[in-house]
Order: sequence, then structure tokens, then C-alpha cells
Amino acid sequence: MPSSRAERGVRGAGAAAGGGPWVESSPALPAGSAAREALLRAGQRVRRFIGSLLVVPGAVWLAVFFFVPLAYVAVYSVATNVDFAVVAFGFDLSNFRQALTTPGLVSATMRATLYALGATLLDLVIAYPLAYFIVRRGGRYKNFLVVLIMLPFFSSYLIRVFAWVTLLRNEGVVNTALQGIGLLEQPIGFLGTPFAVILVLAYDFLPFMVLPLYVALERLDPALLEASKDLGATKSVTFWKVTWPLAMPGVVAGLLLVFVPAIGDFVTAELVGGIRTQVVGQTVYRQFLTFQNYPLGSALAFMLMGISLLAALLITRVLGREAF
Amino acid sequence: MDAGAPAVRRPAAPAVGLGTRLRLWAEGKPLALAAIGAYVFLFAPLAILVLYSFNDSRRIVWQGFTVRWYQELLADPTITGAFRQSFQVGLLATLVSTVIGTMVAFALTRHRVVARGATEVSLLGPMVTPEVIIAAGLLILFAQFSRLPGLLGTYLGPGFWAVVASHIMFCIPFVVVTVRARLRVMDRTLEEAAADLGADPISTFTRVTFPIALPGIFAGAMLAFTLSFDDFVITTFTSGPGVTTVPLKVFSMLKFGISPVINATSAILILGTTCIALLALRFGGGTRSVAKSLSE
Repeated sequence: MPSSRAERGVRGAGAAAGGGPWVESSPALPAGSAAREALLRAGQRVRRFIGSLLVVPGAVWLAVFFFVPLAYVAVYSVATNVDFAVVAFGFDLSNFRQALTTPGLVSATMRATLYALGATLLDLVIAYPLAYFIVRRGGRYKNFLVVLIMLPFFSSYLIRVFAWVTLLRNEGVVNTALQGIGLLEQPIGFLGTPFAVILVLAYDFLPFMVLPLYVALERLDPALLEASKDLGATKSVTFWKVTWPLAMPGVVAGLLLVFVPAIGDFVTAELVGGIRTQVVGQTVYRQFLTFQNYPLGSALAFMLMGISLLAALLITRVLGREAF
Repeated sequence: MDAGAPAVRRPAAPAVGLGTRLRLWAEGKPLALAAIGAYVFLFAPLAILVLYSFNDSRRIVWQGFTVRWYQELLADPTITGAFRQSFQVGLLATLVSTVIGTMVAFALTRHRVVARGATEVSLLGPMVTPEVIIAAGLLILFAQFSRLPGLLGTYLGPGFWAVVASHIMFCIPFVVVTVRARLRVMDRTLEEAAADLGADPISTFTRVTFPIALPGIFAGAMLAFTLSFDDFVITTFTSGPGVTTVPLKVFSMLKFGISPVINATSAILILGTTCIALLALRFGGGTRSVAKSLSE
């Protein structure tokens, strides 16, 4: 924001206050009169009141349908499961113990982390040249090219995953095509492999990586690149010493925006994965909707949240130090 | 001008050696190829999905053009019912979240707000929390609600109204971001001019501020509708037995086995949401502001 806080404050007192210039320009209220001051002050108070009033429905809605549910997850994670969807509240850490010691659950958490990491890195590799290309070579098609990246993101996420099922299954497009041209005898079983899950996760969240990179690279002043070149730096030196560090905020944002949804995802693993690619999101889904063991499901969800927060912290700390 | 006059003299082609030319040609290529590859990666799966909704065979080999999967879709009341339900949920969620979100956006850009920082951070919450965690919490919440006595329990338990309430929740932040992007680029002097010309605050709002903000509000509404129409995770946790939206229907069809009818349903969804998204971007003050506000 170009205008400083003080400047906005000054304007806020007059122009932006309730009556604003309407009060200022009123001939009945000469400047400096007590009535005018009082009216301005009242206007300001009204304005703050209105502002707070406008926020109330949104705040209440988010409180009831976002924060209370999150609090419920926390409370349930230490409750005891009595029966289907019946719990006894208390402080029982056995859910966490179960989540941390049951081999299936531990490996599901590890897998989710690894797959999310793989998808995030794959997205970085795909998105960086793409964003760079749009910024440097996009010309007048820049906006169009960015819209193109956002478009698939608007199609239902479930359907984007399903699209890959039609591509990758044994009777799918890829196998049929490879067999058709005689490259394959037997179809390759892509589905159910970690490869498929990582690839499709990367596909799901690619726009989240491209957009922040695009914004960061676009902000980069081309004069800096020229200066680097003039000072005798080679292309790769210019890239690693100028472009990469300056675009780092975009990288950080992209890593976060991909990793966090990817680690919690269960639809991708459910549809293109198999028994050996179970991820923690799926176990949460099953604990809640199949076994109705809400406390264990909550403990798993809570751990998932912990890992995403930890990752967010790590990414911003380690890379962010360079970036900001 | 004399037709016989010499044409404007073209600058002579720069004398560039073949080696330099080859190098220049090759230099740009890997980047362009990587970009083209990325676009193919993004669009090929969806294009193939739509393509096979017109294939006259259950198998992958192309057997000719047909619309019979679309006819089958229209003849299946569970699919058309899912579309109707998705529209009902989507319209209600869009209406409420647009009103609430617009109010918040106005408050944050035009008013002083108590606890502004807290409001801004809470708005980010639903956008950055893994969806499955929110969904799990919502299921617990609505399961609690269903124990309420009388009609409250009937209406507030998992089911139609639970889905609508949850959709409103995750749509609000996106509406706020979109409307705020529009309000931020709007020229404040217009409002000041209106006030200087004697308009009272209410007519300044109704005749100047609101009309200028309207495209942003419209874009926010479109975005909310696509988000609601597309949602699977939160809907599946909060729907209970009575509600089936299109994504839930697609998911259950997938569990029964792959059929081109799913492709046809998906194709309708893809084309529908793409059109709405394009409208939203058109009205949303351009892609750049949306891209920026998304990545902020």
C-alpha cells in the first residue's frame, strides 16, 4: 500500500468518516465549530459501528461452521470411543497412542507426507519454466495464458482425478495406445502405484504453484537481469543469484499452497491408488464415515493438521529467510 | 502518393551467422517446449475425458460418434435429481455467501473494524486448512445438532441444510477476496467527488460505490457457485443419507464401475463450470487481480 497509515488516518478522520465531505461541505456547519466537530466524531463512530456490524454475520458464520468444528476435532481427539458415534468426553490420549503405534496408521501418515512432498516438488519443476515462459515470452497473450492455467482448476476436482483413471487404468487410453502401436504386450498397472498418486496429486494442485510463481516473476525488474548480464554473469549465474532468490516468495507460497491440500487429500489416493497407497486422509474418511470412530478419526485429523502446520513453519523459516 | 515510388526502405536483415541463428533458435526452445508440455499436461486429461463421452463404445477404441450416453444420463432420474440438488445447494450457498462476503469486503476496505487483524486471519482459515479436517469437524458438529429436540434436530442434522451451511462457510472467504480485489482497485476519488457534489452517504453508496463494485460481487458469486457445485469432500461428510449432489453421484457411479455415462456427466460439469469461471474472470477485474489476491 502506497498510502501510509498516518495518511489514511487523516483521511479517515475527515473524508472517510461517516458524513465525510458531506459534513465538511455543508454550509450550515462552519469549519472549526463545535457542532461540526461533534458531527464528524459521531460520523466516525457510526462508521466504525457500521463496519463492525457488517463483519458480524461473516464472523458468526465462520465461528460456528469453521472454528467450532475445529475445536470439536480437538476435543474429540482426546475423548474415548464407547460405541458407534458415541463418545465419553475426557482427556484420553489413547487415540493418539493408537494413531502413533498402529503400523497401518503410521505408514498412512508417512505415505501422505511423502506423496505430498513428491507432488509439491514435481509441481515446482513443471511450474517454474511455465511461469517463467509466460512472464518472459507471453507478450500480449500473458493474461490469456494465465487464464488457461486457472481454467482446469474450476472443473470439479473429483472429475479431474477421474480423468486420470480413464487415462491410466489397464483398459485406459495410455495402455490401449501403447498396445495399439505395439510397444506393449501386457498393460502396465499404473493404478494403485505411488507413481500414479503423486502424478495425479501434482496435477490436482498445479495452478496453486504456477500463480504465485507467475506473480513473483512478473514483479522482478528486467533491469536487474540486464545489470547482472552487463556485469559479466553467465545465464546460469544470473538465474541462481538474481532470479531464483528474488522469486523466492513465490516459491514459498507455491510450496505451501500445494503441500497443505496435497497432504490432506484422500480422493486421489482413493481413486487412482490402491491398498498399498493408503494415505492418512483416507483413514480419517473411514474412521468417520465407515467405522464411526470419531475420536480416533479426530486424533488422525489433528495429527494431519500438526504436520501441515509444521511443514508451513519449516517452509517459511528455511526458505523464507532467503525470501524476505 | 505515387504508386511508382519506392516502398519504404526495409532495414537490412542483420548479418547473423548461421551458428548464431541456430543457437538463438535452440535457446528459446526448451522453455517453450516445457511450457507447451505443461499445458498439454493440464488439458489433455480433461479433453480426452470429454472426447470419450461421445464414443459409441464402452471401450477405449473409437467406434464412432454418439450422444447416447447423454440420453442415458437424462433418462436416469438419480443423475438429473443430483443436478437439481446441486443447483439448489449452489444457489442458496451462493446467495447467502455473496451477501455475507460482500458485507465483510466492504467493512474491510471502507470501514474501521474492531479486530481487523483477527478477521483477516480467520478468513484465511477455511482456505488453508486441509479440507478433510474441516469436513470431519463439521460432521461432529452436525451430529451434535441432530440431537437437538424437535424440528431443530431434524433440520440441523447432517443433510440438506448442513450441506448448504457448510458450503456458505467455505464460499465466504473467496467472495471476500474477489470483492475486495475490485474495491481496492476502485478509484476512491469517485466517492469523494460524489460526496463533494452533495450526495449523502446512502446515495453515494447506492449510486456510486455499489454499481462500481457490482462486477466484483458478480464474480464472487460465480466463483462461489462453482466452488459449491464442485465440492466433494465437505459435502460427503455433511450430507447424510438424503442428499446426493453431482460430485457425490459421480463418486458413487465410479465405485460401481467405469461407464461412459460418467464421462457424459463429467463433460457437462466441466463445460458448465468452465463457462461460469470464464464469466467470473471477465467480471472480476481481470485475472491479474484474482491471481494476486489468491497468492497473497
